[in-house]
Amino acid sequence: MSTETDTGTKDPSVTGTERLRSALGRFVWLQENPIPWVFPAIAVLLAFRLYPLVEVVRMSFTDMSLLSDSYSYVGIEQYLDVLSAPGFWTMARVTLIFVAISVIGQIVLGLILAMAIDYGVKKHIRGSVSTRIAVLSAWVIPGIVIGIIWQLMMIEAPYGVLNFFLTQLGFDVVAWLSDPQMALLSVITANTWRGTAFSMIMLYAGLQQVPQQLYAAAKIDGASAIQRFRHVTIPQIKPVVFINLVLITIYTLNTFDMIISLTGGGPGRATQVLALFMYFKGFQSFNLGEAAAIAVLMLLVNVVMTFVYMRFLIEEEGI
Amino acid sequence: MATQSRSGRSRFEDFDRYTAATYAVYLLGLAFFIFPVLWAISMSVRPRQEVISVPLRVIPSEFTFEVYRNVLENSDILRWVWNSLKIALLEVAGILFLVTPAAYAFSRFRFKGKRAVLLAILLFQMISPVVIVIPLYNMMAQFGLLNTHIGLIALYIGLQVPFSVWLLKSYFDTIPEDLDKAARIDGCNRLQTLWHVLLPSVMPGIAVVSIFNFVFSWAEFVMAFTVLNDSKLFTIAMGVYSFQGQYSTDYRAIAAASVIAMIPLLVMFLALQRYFVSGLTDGAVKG
Amino acid sequence: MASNHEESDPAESINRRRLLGLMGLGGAVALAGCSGGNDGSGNGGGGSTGDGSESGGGGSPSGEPLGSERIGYSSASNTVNYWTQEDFIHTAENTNLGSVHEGMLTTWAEEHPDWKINVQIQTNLEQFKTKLLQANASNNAPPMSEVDSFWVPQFYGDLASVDEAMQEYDDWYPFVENVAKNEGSWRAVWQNTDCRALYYRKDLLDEYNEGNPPETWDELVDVGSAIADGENMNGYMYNGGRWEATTFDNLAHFWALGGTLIDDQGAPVLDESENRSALVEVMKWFKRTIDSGITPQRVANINDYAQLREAALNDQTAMFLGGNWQISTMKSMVDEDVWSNWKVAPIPQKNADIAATGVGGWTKGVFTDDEEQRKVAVDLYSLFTDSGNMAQRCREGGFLPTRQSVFEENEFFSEDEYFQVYSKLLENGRARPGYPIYTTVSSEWQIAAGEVITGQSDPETAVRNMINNVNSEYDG
Repeated sequence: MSTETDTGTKDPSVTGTERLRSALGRFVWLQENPIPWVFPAIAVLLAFRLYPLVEVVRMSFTDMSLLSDSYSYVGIEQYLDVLSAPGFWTMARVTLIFVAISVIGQIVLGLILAMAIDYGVKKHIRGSVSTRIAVLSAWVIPGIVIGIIWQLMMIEAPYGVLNFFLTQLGFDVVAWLSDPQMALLSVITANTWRGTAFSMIMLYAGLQQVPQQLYAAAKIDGASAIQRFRHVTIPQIKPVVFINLVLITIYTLNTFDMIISLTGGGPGRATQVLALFMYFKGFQSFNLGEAAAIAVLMLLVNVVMTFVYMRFLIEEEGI
Repeated sequence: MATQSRSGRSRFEDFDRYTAATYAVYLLGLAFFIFPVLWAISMSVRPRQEVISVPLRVIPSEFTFEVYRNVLENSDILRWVWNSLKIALLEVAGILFLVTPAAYAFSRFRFKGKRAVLLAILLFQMISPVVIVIPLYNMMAQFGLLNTHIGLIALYIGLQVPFSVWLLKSYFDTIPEDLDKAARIDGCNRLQTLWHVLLPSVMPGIAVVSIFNFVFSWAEFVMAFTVLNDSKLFTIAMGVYSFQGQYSTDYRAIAAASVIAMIPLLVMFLALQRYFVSGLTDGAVKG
Repeated sequence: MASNHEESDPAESINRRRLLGLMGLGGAVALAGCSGGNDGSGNGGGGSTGDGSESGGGGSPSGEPLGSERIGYSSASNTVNYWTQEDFIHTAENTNLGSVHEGMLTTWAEEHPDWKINVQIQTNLEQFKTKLLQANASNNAPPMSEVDSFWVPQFYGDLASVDEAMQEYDDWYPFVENVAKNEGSWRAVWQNTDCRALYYRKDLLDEYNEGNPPETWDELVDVGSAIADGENMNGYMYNGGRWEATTFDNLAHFWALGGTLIDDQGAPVLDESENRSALVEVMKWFKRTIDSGITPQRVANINDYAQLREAALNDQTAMFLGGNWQISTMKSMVDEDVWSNWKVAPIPQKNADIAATGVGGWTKGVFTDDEEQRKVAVDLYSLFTDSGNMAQRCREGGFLPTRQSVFEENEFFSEDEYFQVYSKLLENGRARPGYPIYTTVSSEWQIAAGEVITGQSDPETAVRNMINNVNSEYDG
């Protein structure tokens, strides 16, 4: 994408009275300077994001607790506690699996659905609206409630609906949530179910922005559908894919509301992701310092992931 | 529409193959995504004895709407829906007001440190709201905004700014800069260019940002729970969860409340459906 | 600050805002209306116009004594905030319970024409505590609040005395005094309780054990496996998921073995040898229930009493560890010949000679130094300790009374076989230790139980990890 700005009209007009010129000049200067454009957004950011961020980093070096008003600075002790907690590396592994598979699932399903709907709408195929609405409906239900609904479906008795269908088909009852590996898979499935709509809309809107002439031109050049996808679609929607990946990674890494009601992190620690660990530390053990330390560690993971995505998806001048 | 006039055999072949694939995707997508929702609906309309029962009844033996009546009569659910609508709409309005100029600037201006600022903004998005809930709670307490909708709206706006800036900027980026150039040469200043030329083209992006923010405000739980005390002020997400009892969950009530909570959003999606498509063609024509 | 913005009448501000919205005013105006409605003081006259009450003359109370989120006349000049739950007020979803409260609260309102209580209903109970802690730590706690019985010790330092409501009776169960009394003064009004018990199918126990419910683990396994083999169902089920009941219900086993989780100073004492071995015994018991086939592994994901009840009602299990409130739910759901086949008994223990059960329930506390407010609050609370009111509330709400005399003197309780069992159980009732570290202990207990039940760890390893985690949380 070109980022060159037009400077031709930058100079204020030289005609007119002095006053008008300076007023106009000020207006133009205001308009030509990025600061007034971004200031309101940045101010809000500083108040609601930067300040709490600084607070959280500060908290992570203290023994702050929900139970009392006073606290003291303890250096990096909270970090050491987190890293040496007996379940930490198990949870890190669970989190990695959860995030990786969920993100891949969401983006792949989202892209397939977005392309199908894009195609379907253009070709007036019936079902486009229903499909879109179906996917979206998953997304508007609060996470905690999603957990409850899925748990109900996954009851491990013949009266759980999924197991009911399986037994009708002659299979055995599946331990959806009480088998440690299966539980993780179930949580990932439910999360993908919930999150796909986000990627679908984002990518769908991205597809709408691809100029149709590019496809036409590629077709005239004899490009096959796959070639058009690789050489037209992908490069055009790369920025959207990038931001989509970053965002769903962040969301997935930080999500825990659905898990709380689906498995509570169990059985044992089989589905206890770091976000849930952080929540428990902060709001069950009331240990804000340690919760903050976990948050900062997760933030670092996010930053690393973002740079990885950037490295692969966005060229230097792309931002 | 204009693009449909091409002809040729290969196109016809394409049609069959891709249409079949599209139908297959629709079918699988519908089955996977609608099933849990249908199940929730079927929970909400069955007699209490059949929620968990042996043998399982996939189709309830009778349909009863007593739970809906119960939920509507004995809880504040309509008020919660109203609260959520109000909060979500104001949040979206606030976000668009703040973010559109910023996204424009980040897309169209070239200035030193832009990349760094953008990355910093993205960094802010990476903080889990759960972690900063404590500092934010204290902040709200200081301003006397606990237990008020305005406090919650301000929080939501604050939390959603980074995401919205990035998203909208990436849509601005997809609009060729020749478009602004032409307008600028015609004598439009930047504000006029943005308003008359870019906004129509970037409408799908604005729609997406609005929808994302709307849904976020609608389904958000942790912040709302922390800030609001009074059940009259609850959002719908908190309201639905309040049917979770101390000892056990009233599945039917939760299901019914979820269904009620989904209706306004589904209506909105349906209403925006046409708009989505028209936004698409506008963009294509302009591009 | 906190008291100011919370005093406005929410109904009024909502109406005004809705009106603004309907009049088609833009977002900015609605926003202004919004902040105005919430920041404005609803004290005195302003708040009294919202509910359509006709205004009375002079100092006499006007309007209804109870409002939708208000106890007391809206014309009252003093307001006090109260965090409570539906179960304790006139708008309870259980309308029978609601009307009992209506009578009680109206009495209070008539005696206190100058006071009104601004009710803020709390729903999610697990997080209610977090919120109360948060508010209390920043001195924002409401003057009146419900407090889960086992949180009380955490708040000893902040709770004002409620002696007037508690002291005049001497028939409290021992556990009430253990928890609610501190340094010679009552800190909380324990209005009702609950307990855990073994539920069993009478017809099956008649057939397989001559009608006797099992008293020991060995018996439970014997009977349970016989039934499991003979009837193709599970013998015994219990809460084993990641939630509080997994700890609370099964703590009875630990207590019966002489175990102690936390000492009087609030420090965890799990690594003292007798406590550790009691813990290992309990974990081994979990493993044994699975290995012997009497319990399905799916209990590792049961985090809702309703799932136990449904397993019971659907011929999936012959026995389960449940709570006293479940029989009344079952009564309301199925025919008499089904529920009356379910009986309750003490929880089987390793040895038959020791009994234990966990007791819970909610108390009322006062978080204010203002003597006048305290007095008003205690007057209200006293209504809940009156034996007649307690009996009625417990009867309609399915709770257990905390005063022994209520069980003995009220026919509803004295002639009911279930309540008579509960009443005996309550004598050995024990509350969870109310110290901050308990939540960590409980969470680690749930993890250990889950790991043992699903075979991810053996009992010794699970206990070792649990103790390490608890201790490092406590020391760190």
